[in-house]
Amino acid sequence: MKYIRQRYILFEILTPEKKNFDKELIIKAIGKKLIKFFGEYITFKVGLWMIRWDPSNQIGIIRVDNISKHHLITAMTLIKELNSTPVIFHTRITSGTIKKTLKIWRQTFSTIPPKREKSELNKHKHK
Amino acid sequence: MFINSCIPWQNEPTIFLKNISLCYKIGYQAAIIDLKSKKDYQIFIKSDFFPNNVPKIKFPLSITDILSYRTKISPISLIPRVTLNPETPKLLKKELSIWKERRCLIAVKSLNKEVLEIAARDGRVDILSLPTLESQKSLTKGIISLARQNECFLDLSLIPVIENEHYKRTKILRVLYRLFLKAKPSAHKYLIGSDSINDNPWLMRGPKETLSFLYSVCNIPEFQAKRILTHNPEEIILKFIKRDQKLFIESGVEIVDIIDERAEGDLKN
Repeated sequence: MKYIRQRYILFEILTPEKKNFDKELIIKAIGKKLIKFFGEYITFKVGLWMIRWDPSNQIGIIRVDNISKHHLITAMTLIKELNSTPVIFHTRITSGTIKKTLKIWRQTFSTIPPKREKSELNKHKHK
Repeated sequence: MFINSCIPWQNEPTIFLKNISLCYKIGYQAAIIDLKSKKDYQIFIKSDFFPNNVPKIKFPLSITDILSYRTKISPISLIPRVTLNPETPKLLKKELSIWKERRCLIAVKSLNKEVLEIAARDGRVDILSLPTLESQKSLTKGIISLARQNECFLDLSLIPVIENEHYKRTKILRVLYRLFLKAKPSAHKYLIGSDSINDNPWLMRGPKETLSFLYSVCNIPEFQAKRILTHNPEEIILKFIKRDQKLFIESGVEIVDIIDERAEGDLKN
């Protein structure tokens, strides 16, 4: 039996003009908001991890804990600006498997999701 | 079907179209348009955003009928709503008699408790609008109970929570928390819209995000939060459609079905 079940959230960032945001910038913004609004207790439970990020289309997949899924989406809701440009975090779907999330990505946005970065793959191999 | 219960009307069609398309992108399929005055109402009714010749609806009425209120220009179907802001109860009664027979929903927004009490008691009022902190504070238990008895919806906006930060946000959340304790979402009918986005439409948030907010911050169970975003607005829009198609007579008295003349003849034979 798995003690921690994970959820994969497919989201896109809507902006007035096309922008290429960094993966780190987004994670930092979400993490900051989480700590500021919910505190450290909820933030460590969330287990925030960006699995895929497509900077050209501003679409991504985030992995979280199943219990604190709503906390993460709320933190994303409260973000108003990124690099002083107004943004809306629009969550498309939440799924239990990465395979299904990627399938929905291909169907809804008709783009191919980027592959996992090599450095991340190596980290998992060492483990 | 997710419905945004309040989007302010803008006289410039290009800006309004931008707001609507953003609303569609976020995940709403329909919206209720907030009209502040008689002039706005007339402009909206004559504009291309509102269908002039709506086809007669077939029975039984369903939520798909809302889609017939969509024109070619707008990506989502739009339902008009007029927000009255009277200062005294006399003025409210006067305005209600004017707006009674128009093709729109009637909402009342006021800081005066007497006005709110009369509005909650009146059957012609569909919505009590409470977008700001002050208006939420002015609600008493009596008004809430009257609103519940007359099936009057309570309209909130989460935009001040997103817009403000630090201490101001905590104050707003405190008032919201107390309101949800006074009028529980399980018993009272709430609506959540994007009021006061005139300056910045980028403060609008999607239905799924609003649902998460209600669940995690306001401690409202998921099924109740979903009902606030889907079932309640559907109910009020169906009420409007019935009134628009002249099927609604009074709350509890409405035409349920119309039998064709041919069918009537067959029944007699």
